[in-house]
This record gives sequence, C-alpha cells and structure tokens, in this order.
Amino acid sequence: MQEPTGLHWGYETSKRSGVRSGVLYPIFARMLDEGWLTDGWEDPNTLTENRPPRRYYELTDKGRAELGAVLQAARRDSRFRALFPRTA
Amino acid sequence: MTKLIDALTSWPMFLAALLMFGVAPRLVLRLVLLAYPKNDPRRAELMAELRAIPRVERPVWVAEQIELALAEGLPRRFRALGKLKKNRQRKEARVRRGTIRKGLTTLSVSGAVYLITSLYVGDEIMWSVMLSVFIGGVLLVVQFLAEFENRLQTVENGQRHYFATVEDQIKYGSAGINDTSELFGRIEDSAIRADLKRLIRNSANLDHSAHTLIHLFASSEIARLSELMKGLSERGEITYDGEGRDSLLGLTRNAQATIDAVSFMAIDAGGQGLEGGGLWKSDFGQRYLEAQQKALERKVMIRRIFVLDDTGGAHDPERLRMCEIQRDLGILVRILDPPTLPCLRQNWMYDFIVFDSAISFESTPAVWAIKGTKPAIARARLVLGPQRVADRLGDFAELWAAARELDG
Repeated sequence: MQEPTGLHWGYETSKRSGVRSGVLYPIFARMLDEGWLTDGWEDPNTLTENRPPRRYYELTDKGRAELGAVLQAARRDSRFRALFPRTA
Repeated sequence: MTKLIDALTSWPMFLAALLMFGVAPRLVLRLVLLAYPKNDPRRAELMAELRAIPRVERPVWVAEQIELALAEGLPRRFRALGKLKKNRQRKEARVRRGTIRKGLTTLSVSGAVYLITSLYVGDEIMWSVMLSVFIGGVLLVVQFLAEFENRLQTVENGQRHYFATVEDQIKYGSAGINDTSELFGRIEDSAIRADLKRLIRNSANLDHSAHTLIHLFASSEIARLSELMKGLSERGEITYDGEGRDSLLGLTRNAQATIDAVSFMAIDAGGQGLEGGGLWKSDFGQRYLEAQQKALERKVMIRRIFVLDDTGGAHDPERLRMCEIQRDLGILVRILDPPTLPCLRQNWMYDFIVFDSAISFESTPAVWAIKGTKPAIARARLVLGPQRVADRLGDFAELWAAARELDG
C-alpha cells in the first residue's frame, strides 16, 4: 500500500515486504481471484535489456479499498501494534 | 533413518546442491516449474523473474520456489489432470448417450411403422417387417449423417479459427519484416550509409553486461545525435546551450569552400583583453585556429570581420596582434567599427559564421548584467534554412564592405 497506484513485481514485493515468495505468490493468486489485483506482462518492445517480459500486478480500486480496510483493522488490533510506528 | 539424515547433511550432498543451485539455477528452476501445468502463467513469470534477480541471490530464490511449486504448482497440476479426466469422461458419456438415443429413436420409429403397416396390410407380415426395417435403417443413416455433418462443421470452424490466427500472425510478422526492410532500404539510400552502418554496428556491440551508466550515456548520446540528424535532414535549426564548440570545430574541419565569420572582439577577448585569457588564447581557441589553418591548406577561403567594441579595442595592441596573427595565417581579416554603420544595423549585430554558404553557426551572447563581468555565449545554433543562410550571407557582404582592412 506504499505505492497503491504503481506496478508491482513478485521479487521486489517479496524483498520489500519480507514475505517469502512461496507465500507471496499464492496470496497474489487469491487476490487476483478476488478481483483485488489485475495482472499484465511488460511490453517486449519497451524492454531495453535482453530478458523476457515480466508479469506485473496492479491494485484495483476494489483492492485498494479492501486493503485499506485490512490495514485500518490491523492498526486497531493490539497484536499488530508493533508493525505500525506510533505517530506523535 | 539416521543414515538417511546423515546422507542428506553430508558434504557430497551439500556440494552437489551448491553445484546445482549455484551453477545452474535456471535449469533447476525449469525442473521445479514442471510441477505447474503446461500453460500456467506462473512458469513464464518465475523464469522472467529469475533474470531480474541479482546472481548472488538466485540460488536461494530458486530453492524457495520449490516450496511454491509444492504448495501451488502440484495442486494446480492435479486440478488440471482432474479436469482433463472429467472432460474425457463427459465426452465419452455424450457419445454413449447419443448412440443410445439413435438406437431408441430407430427402434421406436420402426415399431410404429410396423404397427401402422400391420393395421393396413393385415396378414402380410413380411411387408410390415421389411418396411419397418427399411424406414428404421434410413432413419439410422440419416441420424449418423446429421452427426457427421455436425462434427464436420465443428472441424471447419476450428480450421477457420486456426487459419485466421495463422493469417494474423503472418500479417504481424510481415509488418515487422516490412518495417525492418524499409529501415534497411532507407539506410542504403542514405548519403552517409557507411557511417550509419558503422554507428549501428558499434552501438549494437554494447552488450548487456556493461555498467548501467554506460548504457545511459550511450543512450543520451544517440538521442543527441538523433536530434542533430533530424535538424540537419529537415534543414531546420539546432540549438545548443553554451558555445556548441564541437559543432564549430566539426564544421571548420569539414568546410570545403568558404568560411565567413563575424567575431565580436569583446566576446572573443572575454571582456578582459586578450592578455586576460580570451578565446584565441584558450585551448579551444588554439584548436579552432589549427582547424582553420588546415582548412586554408585545403584552399578554403576564410574571411573574418572583427567587430570593435567601446572598450578601447581599436587601440589595444594585444587585440590587434591577434588580428595580425590570423591575417598572417592566410585568413582575410577586416576590422569593423560599429559607429560607421547605419544606426539600425548597429543594434542587432551578433556573432555568426557561414560555412560553404550552406550552414550558419550563430551565437547569442548572455545578457551582460553587471559591468565588468565576463561576456559569454549563452546559446549557439546551427541554421540550415536556405533563406536564413542567404540572409546571413547578405549581412556578411554588407559588413565586409563596411569594414576596413588591417593596417600594415
């Protein structure tokens, strides 16, 4: 949710969130099924490096709303308090 | 069990794992991905991701994917297998149902025919049997023919779709080939085709292992060159921030017939007098003079008008010395005192150099905000429009006529 309108790739998201790819990809798959995410492939014509196009994920409006709600709920829950820095 | 654990944690096993994951993570990943069904997008996704991961992290990342393949890939494969099996069973059931339906229809129609005909024919049972068998047989054949027709239609539709897809792919491929051949055709038609080929060949040699900065620098240089080529081919204008020294030197080194230059002494002297380090004493000035000398050796006629300013340039021995040096090189030098010009002309004079009566190199001085500060070139531009170049030549002729030759 740090970049709610950006494109996200599996490896980068895994590194940034600290979630193993073995856990992350099934989460992506479920979010795709629920309509929280859309996916796509990079345009091969725009690639400057010699590599195959990568699959990216993008939050849908529904996904942004749902994830926002999940975050709000997590903020209120004392079990996840350590994850959110306290604001003055 | 202990033996198994010992075998798994032994050095040979560790080295084998290191070799497999370290040397061939791609191969290992490919094997791991076999857990997914054939057309699953995760296969292509993970293979592409691997290329984006730093080499050091690849072995660990590939090992992580084993977990993913077990948790996600295998269930998908089983589901796909289940679906395949279900589809096959459904198809077989449909065929079975169709055969039974045909048999039942045939039997019921034959029976009905037998009953009806026995009512009319009476004791001639043979006729009733023959007629019912005949009609039943015809009905069975018609049913099979109808089914055959349906299947033929399905095959035709499939083929039509296949041909349409192939046609689209061929069209798409041809478009790419056409673009490429058009590009090659244009390169072959170009007046500088050998240089273009050299540029393409050398640019293509830049491989992916080079540092990102090298890629970015190469890309920006090609973009700059591309803009320059666009300006040159459209006979337009190319603007440089600063003095555009490389272009000035390049034009001087390649001029074939004439160089007509108007130079302001104030700017050339850097506002400090030549002894203070003006243009002609700088490293660039020396290279510029050297390029002009070589141009003179190629029989290029160089004319330069030095425009005096109000800072006492007319009597500055250093400035006059510079004019003499240029004259001694073979440059035709004249000096112009602006007050001798008509009032209007005095107000809009600026540095320009016309090369081969085809390209005008013009420079715009920065605004002289504080008195005593060093005048500098804010912007330079190449002008290729024939009318604009003709205007500059006209201006030069007028100024040349108004200027006086160097004394002595």
